[in-house]
Amino acid sequence: MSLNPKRNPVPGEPAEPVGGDGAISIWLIAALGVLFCWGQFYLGRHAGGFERAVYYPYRSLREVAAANPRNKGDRVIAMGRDVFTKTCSVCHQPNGMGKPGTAPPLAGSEWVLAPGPNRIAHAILNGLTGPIIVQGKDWNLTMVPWKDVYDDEHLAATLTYIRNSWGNKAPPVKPEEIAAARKDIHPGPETAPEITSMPEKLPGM
Amino acid sequence: MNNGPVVFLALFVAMAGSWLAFVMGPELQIGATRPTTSIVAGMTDEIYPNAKPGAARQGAEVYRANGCVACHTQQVQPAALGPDINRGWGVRRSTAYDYLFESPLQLGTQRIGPDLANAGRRMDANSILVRLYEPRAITPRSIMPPYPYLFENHKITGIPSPDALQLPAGFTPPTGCEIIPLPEARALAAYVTSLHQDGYLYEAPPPVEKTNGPPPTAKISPAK
Amino acid sequence: MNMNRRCQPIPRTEIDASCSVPLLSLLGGGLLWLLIGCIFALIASLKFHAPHFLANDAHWTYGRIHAAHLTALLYGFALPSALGVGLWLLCRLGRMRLAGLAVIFIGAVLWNLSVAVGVAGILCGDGDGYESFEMPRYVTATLFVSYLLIATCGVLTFHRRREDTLYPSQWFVLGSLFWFPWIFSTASALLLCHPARGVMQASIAWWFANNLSYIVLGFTGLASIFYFVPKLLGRPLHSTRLAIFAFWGLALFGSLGGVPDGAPLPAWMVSLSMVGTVLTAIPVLAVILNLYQTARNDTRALDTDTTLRFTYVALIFWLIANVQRIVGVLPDVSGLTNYTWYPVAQWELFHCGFFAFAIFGAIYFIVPRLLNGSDDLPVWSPRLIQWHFGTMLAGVLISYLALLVAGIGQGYFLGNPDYTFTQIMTGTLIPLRAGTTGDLLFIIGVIIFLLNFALLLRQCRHGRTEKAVAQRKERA
Repeated sequence: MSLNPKRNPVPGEPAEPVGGDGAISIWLIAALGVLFCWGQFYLGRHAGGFERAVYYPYRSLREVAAANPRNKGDRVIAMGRDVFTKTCSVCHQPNGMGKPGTAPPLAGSEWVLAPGPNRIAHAILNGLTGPIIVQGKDWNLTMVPWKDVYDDEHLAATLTYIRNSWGNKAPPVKPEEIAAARKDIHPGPETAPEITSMPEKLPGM
Repeated sequence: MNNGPVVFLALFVAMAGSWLAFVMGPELQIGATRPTTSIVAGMTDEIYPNAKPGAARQGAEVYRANGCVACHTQQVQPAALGPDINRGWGVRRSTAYDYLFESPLQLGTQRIGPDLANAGRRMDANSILVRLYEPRAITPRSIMPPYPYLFENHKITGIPSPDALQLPAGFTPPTGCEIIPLPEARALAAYVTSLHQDGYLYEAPPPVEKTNGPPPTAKISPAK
Repeated sequence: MNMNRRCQPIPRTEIDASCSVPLLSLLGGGLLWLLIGCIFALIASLKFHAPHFLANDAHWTYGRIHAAHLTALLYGFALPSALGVGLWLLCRLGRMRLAGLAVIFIGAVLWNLSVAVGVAGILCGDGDGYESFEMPRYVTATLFVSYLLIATCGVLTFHRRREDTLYPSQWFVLGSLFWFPWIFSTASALLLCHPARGVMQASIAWWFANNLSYIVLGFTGLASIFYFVPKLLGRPLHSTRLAIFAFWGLALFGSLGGVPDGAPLPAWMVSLSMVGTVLTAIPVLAVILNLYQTARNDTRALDTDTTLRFTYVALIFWLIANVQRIVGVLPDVSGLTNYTWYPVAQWELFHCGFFAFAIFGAIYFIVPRLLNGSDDLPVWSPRLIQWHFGTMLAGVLISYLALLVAGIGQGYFLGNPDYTFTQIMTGTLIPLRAGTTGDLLFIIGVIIFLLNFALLLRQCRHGRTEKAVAQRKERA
């Protein structure tokens, strides 16, 4: 059972390999140590405390909480963004710029920016059809009614979001204002002349 | 290192380490994930995600059987790590909640075709069907293969079928024939249109906009 | 156990003769599957340039062909070859005959049948959708059983060894024999039989793929490299301690990996995977240093010894693939390279470069000894060896570089939303054309090898080995 590499029972084929007794360079062990420390440090900073709710790029539960809406105003905007992204953006586009043949723009739209939200409340509740001028351009499309899909809170939040995004700046919309507009029962979609004839703000709002 | 059982034991420990880290540990932590109420809970009780409708579940099987996962991913990377959000493939990154009802999970690892995580928000069933029949009818230089075997081409008898595909010029079948999607094609289209990941999640909130652009310049001078 | 060690070691001719039928069935089957897998790869790769090619029939659609090619390469070629070479190494290093010959043969036949049924199933639409694990559910049980049969015989051979001192290759082989049943049974159970919920499936699938490639296949390739380099150079391995260090480093850190950076998993899993992968840099360096010190100052062997040539190339490819893997997980880089052709290039270099070359190097040494005794070896045709080496090397390099360029370009342009997705993909078609050429060259290389193999068999059958010819001349 000698491991002598020189003893070669079969001529022509070298002996089976044997392990030598070279030493491990201390630099290699040091490098492993350094890299291991780096690894621990990296995990400490980027592993989010091994929490299930922490996803890149957040590094701790605190950062996640800070990134979420913390006051009522932010929560309303968040809800409005949620509805807008899921529903309205399909036609009005995520950047609110609209698309010819699909939906008019909301960014900079004089209808959206009107100080009182009554007209757009009616539009969003009952839908809108027929010719309408938005930012000097003619549009003649149909928007379906949303009064049976979303409640007052959602619609108010959506309008608030629309009125405060992409450069728009207008007062928020309250659920009560939507509720008051809802009381006007209208059989089908509104038309531009109809909503123009309404007051911008209902009395008492 | 000359003792067989010692080597085996040490191998077991090393193996167990990775198994704990990537199988057992996550199973204990996120394996029990259930649909969550939206982040704006308290104001609403929407549940996310919702189970897929039946046709979409059948479509998932067609997706798997034809190996669509070989070219398409279904995951949106965070803005810091990938171009997904910039390209309009999603509004936020994907998280564990987005896949609760996916089985088999077809996340994919190759983007030979665009990401499909939010395909349901970009495409409707009809355009998906046309794209399956002949991708170049919609994207002229597409390298996506056509799937003609998911459709049948038959002669129009009587009135044309309302289900027939509306193909653009140059791709229409010979006169007198129409292309009808088979149930597999419809199921697949239902599946792709069911793909969307835009429920608002605590773990992946969209960036909170503190101000909405620069304040407008005052047009009215303040009263003295 | 001690009794065995006191017995005389079995002579090598006897060991080789004992392994002959089972190992030839494993290695031979593997080579056929390599050819089939590469043909599938070529068809898949042609479909990029001509999407209508074979698109009319469901069986040949890209998604299924791609899955079939990966399955044929991994389960048809890579795993049986790993088993074949691994078992031979255990026998030779343990100085003991192979145990359970009939069992191994049955295992090999069962395995090949299962792979055939599995690949046919994938082409018929039963693939799973998990990369590296597309095997349909109905073959996973037989695959698992056949692997266990073969692995058990390997462990038994190891147990009955007549050589006390273990050599690093033996640890590597044992590692891979032990790892595969664990990862395969876990993946089968939690992905197919009782699927885990949601994104857990992805975590398990990535863990499986990573361990299959870098541990099971990687360890076998390394075992072969660690065996042949010192042996054929006639020197001892530079340092056993360094080999121990590398082995444990790769086992502990290399197994933690595989989760892409942008994955929909909590941050800790992504970070842990990244840290594990980066930490493998040190064991990789240890392996390279060890073998470099062993081979240093040796000038002669490269153009004379086929096995050594293939083995050195395999080692270099292993190094490059690992470096690419480590660089690819760094967050700044992964944002560019995730889900592009970059990881495909890495996969190709690792499996068709490192692993295939390591196995071919071993096959060139082992097969003549399995066919005929060591004192009367049939000889490979040197010209065909050159052609094989040249075309395969060219094929791998062209394919790899093409995919690497395509991947980085794709990632770079995807970051600019002004370019449409179609524009970017048609742009990558140019390097992909080179990639297809590389695939073609690779297949030509495999065919040349099979030709050489056929000639070798003919030598044995017709008694045309050197010694037999010389004896006939003497008698004449």
